[in-house]
Amino acid sequence: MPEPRDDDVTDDRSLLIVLVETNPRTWETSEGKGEGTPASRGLSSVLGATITFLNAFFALNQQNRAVVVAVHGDGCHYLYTSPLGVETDEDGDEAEDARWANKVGGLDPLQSEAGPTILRRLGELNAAETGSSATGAKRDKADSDDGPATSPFAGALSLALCYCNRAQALENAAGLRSKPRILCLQASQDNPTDYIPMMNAIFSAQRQSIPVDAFALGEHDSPFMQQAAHITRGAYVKPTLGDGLLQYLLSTAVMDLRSRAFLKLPAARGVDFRASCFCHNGPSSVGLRVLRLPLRLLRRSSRVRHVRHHIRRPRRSIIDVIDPSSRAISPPRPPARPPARA
Amino acid sequence: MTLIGAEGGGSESDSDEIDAERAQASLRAWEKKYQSERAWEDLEEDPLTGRLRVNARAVELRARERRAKMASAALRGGAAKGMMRFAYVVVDLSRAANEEDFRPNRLSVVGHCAAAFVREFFNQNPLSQLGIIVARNGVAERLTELSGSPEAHCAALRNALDASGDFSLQNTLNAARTSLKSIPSYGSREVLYIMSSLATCDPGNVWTEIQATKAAKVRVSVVAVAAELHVARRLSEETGGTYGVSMNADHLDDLIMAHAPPPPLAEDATKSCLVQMGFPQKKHVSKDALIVGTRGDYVCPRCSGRIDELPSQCTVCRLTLVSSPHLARSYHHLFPVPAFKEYASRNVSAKESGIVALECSACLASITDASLASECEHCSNVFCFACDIFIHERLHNCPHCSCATHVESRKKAS
Repeated sequence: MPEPRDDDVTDDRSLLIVLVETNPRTWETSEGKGEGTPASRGLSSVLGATITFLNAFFALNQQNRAVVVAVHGDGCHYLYTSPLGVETDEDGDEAEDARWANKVGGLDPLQSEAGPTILRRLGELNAAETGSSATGAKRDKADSDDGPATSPFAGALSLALCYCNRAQALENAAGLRSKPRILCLQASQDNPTDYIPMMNAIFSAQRQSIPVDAFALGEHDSPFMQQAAHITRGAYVKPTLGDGLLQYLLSTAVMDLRSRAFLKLPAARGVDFRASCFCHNGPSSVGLRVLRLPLRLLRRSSRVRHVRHHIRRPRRSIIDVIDPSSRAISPPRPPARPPARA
Repeated sequence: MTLIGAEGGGSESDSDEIDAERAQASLRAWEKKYQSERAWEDLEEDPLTGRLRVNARAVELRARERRAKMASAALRGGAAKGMMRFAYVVVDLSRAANEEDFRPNRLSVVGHCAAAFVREFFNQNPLSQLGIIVARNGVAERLTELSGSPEAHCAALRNALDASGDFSLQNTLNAARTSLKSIPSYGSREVLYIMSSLATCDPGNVWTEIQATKAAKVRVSVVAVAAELHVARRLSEETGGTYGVSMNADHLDDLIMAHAPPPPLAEDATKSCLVQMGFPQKKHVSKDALIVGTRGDYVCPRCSGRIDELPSQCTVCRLTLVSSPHLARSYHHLFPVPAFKEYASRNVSAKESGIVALECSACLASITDASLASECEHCSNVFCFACDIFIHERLHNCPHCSCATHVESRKKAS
């Protein structure tokens, strides 16, 4: 248990950034969602849980701030941002009174607008999308052919980190402590081409000590999110009961970081640390690193041709990871072999 | 008569004046370098407290210039990056480090910079190794051996900050060279001197040691705290390193930090080879499981042996095991975010009319000064100055381009 501190009387202000997947392509299919997962119950149930969760989060502390980002098919969009202004006493009592007179259900009126704003902005987004894709019906068809839908979570994380950076700069200038954290609600699978931006974002979050909590709503685990949670010391949750999403959220992500030390968070069962193969965009678990070549990971099924290509045409870098299965290039053998069984 | 006398006196005073002017002009010669900076103009009075403070905008503009310069230098280098570096930092703890020309003294400033450098070094070169050598009382003391843990180095350095005696270039060079000799050929060998002393006290001929260092392909760079020293400059020139003399504490920090990104690679310095490695997964092992050997959390992908920690070698099949996030830390050197272009240059008319309300596309901050805003060349989104810096120096992702590449790659796949 953490030792009590002097400043325990005041709660930590939190800035929570929620990245919720709203990509229509993910939600319109039932593929990869499995039975009884939160994703199988549809976007509206996830959004409902998220909004209830946000209200609970606001009710915990008057100064809690939240940002909701929609991770859409074509990019990421801010759905809702709490006003970031640092509270001052110069507002005047009248304005203060007026605000409190409008209080709804224990929430600051500015906070209670979150739910309706989110839904309204999302509606606008969808309207814009259907408007633009009315002509592109053919493209939609082509899109739906290729594999499971994915969403740009790397970009969303980057966006969230930029916002955290600004919020922290503002609050530091005002002499306040700010504790941002990020919550990802991902329903689709990872897109292996996102590997590098995703890793960059994760390391940046780690350096800013912003924990990333990740909820995998679909059937499959998300290795990227597992790594994000592992590296930034957040929680990775894969709810097994679809209708219990709100409960998972409330018990894991609603508390501020200080109170979190008292909770027993769901333990990660394991982390998939495999890197992505640069050529095939598949996960790779054993690789060859070629020094003096680009840092690349080529997985086991990479053909010799690829390896030769990369060796013959070195780029501007040193480290490369290629697949060892290609005997033609005779990778260095390990000095000791596991003893053969008698 | 009086007139002549007056004339004579006048001419004399004229020549005096000319001399004085000349003297002043020659005095100003070194000042001219600083004239363009006009540091006092950056100060402004805080309207609330009445205190003097540094004008944020001027500082930001200068930081931007400096960054642009560094970026172009990095591009010009066009060098191979992402290599494994094996470096020694030599910290001069001779009695010269007790001088108080930096506040509070050189020792604490150098110690602070060195610790910051060690952390930044491992941030930028995650697979590299570093060691620290301190020079005092005429001998070289190897404080830490080559290893990959920044905290261990920083702690050792913190405990060793105590300066006395002479500085010996030959001894420190010898200590670094003998240790770097055994480094495999794919790693680059480097030494960075942070030198306060203006003299070196050697047991033999320092030039033979310099030649030996050159022969061992060790790249030596020197950052001088005090003033230029011929032998140190020759050392860095001979071995292909850089030499810098700091003007003040900030400049010292800049000079030292400039060595954190991987240096350009000499063609023959390292040769290519293949290193096989595995990326273990982390799996929880139940209490009841019967395990021979260590009871680690990581599983070797080739032989399914258990390993305690990464990076290491598999105890069973000797496969080199690293964590893939570890490798990925250096990716941003290979795929850097291209520099954003200035927004104002293209939209001067819009700025003058003042109608458009600009908003940063990443953090939603309203941009009051359009001359500081910048624009991504790929996705044409506008970013504020703070985000521009953050994206290039810490995040290494353009938030909107990462969404766009995502969409593109999906289209390509289909």
